[in-house]
Amino acid sequence: MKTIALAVLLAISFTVAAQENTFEQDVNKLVKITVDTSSKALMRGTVGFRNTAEEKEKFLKQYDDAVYGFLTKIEQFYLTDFTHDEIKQMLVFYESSAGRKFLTDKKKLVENDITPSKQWKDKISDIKEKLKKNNPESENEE
Amino acid sequence: MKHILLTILFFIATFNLAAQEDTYRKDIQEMMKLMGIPEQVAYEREYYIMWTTPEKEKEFIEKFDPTIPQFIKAAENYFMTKYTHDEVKAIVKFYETPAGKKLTANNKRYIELYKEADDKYQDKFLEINFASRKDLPKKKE
Repeated sequence: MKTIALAVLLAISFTVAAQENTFEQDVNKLVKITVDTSSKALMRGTVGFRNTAEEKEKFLKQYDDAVYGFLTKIEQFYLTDFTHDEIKQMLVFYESSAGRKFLTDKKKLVENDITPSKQWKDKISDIKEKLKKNNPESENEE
Repeated sequence: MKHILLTILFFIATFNLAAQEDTYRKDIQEMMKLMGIPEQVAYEREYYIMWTTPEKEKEFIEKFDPTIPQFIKAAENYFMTKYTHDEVKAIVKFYETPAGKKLTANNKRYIELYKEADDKYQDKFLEINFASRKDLPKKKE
């Protein structure tokens, strides 16, 4: 009887563990498709290009760890705030034709990089430039 | 009689098109609200003000704030050229699901968390960049 109970308990914990892994895998998949890492991939190409092969490998590992840390933070947001079913709903949406189209804007929105943002940023740069010209003694602005 | 009928039909068609465009624009505005554009704009505003000196802050805000409705309008027009009305409806429908509602409720938090994570990454990248260059041999004179 005890053996049967133990076997049942073990079976349940394996099932629960398998579900949690699948949850993490789905969150990982969601972050991969919703977060734009193209600029980070470009930056990787500039790491250690003047160093020896051994040093470059070391710096690239540190770089990859930094990117991993960035993505992990975002994954944590989904893991703690959403259920597995909600993550699945998002994945289903992003795999639809409207969702796939929407993804390009969603990725760029958080970087304020959707097409109209570029014109907006230009206007803001003009404003800052004019303020500097009107007040040339101040040098500590972004 | 024919002329009057054609004129009436023309006005009905024009009115319908205008009403459809009005509904389309309203759905675009709804989509923009749900996807987090107001929160993104608020974040950018705070960011730019933070990097303005206190003496220039008032003047900067006076010039910056009118650009916001201009940006919103430009974004509406951009989305109207990019998405069909059916696509917009599908996106809004997603945001009405439990997952979508939760995403909308967490728009601000997501932006802040993303920026914080990105800042940490940027700091690390600068560290690595500095470390990878500091021991490089200097150019011979």
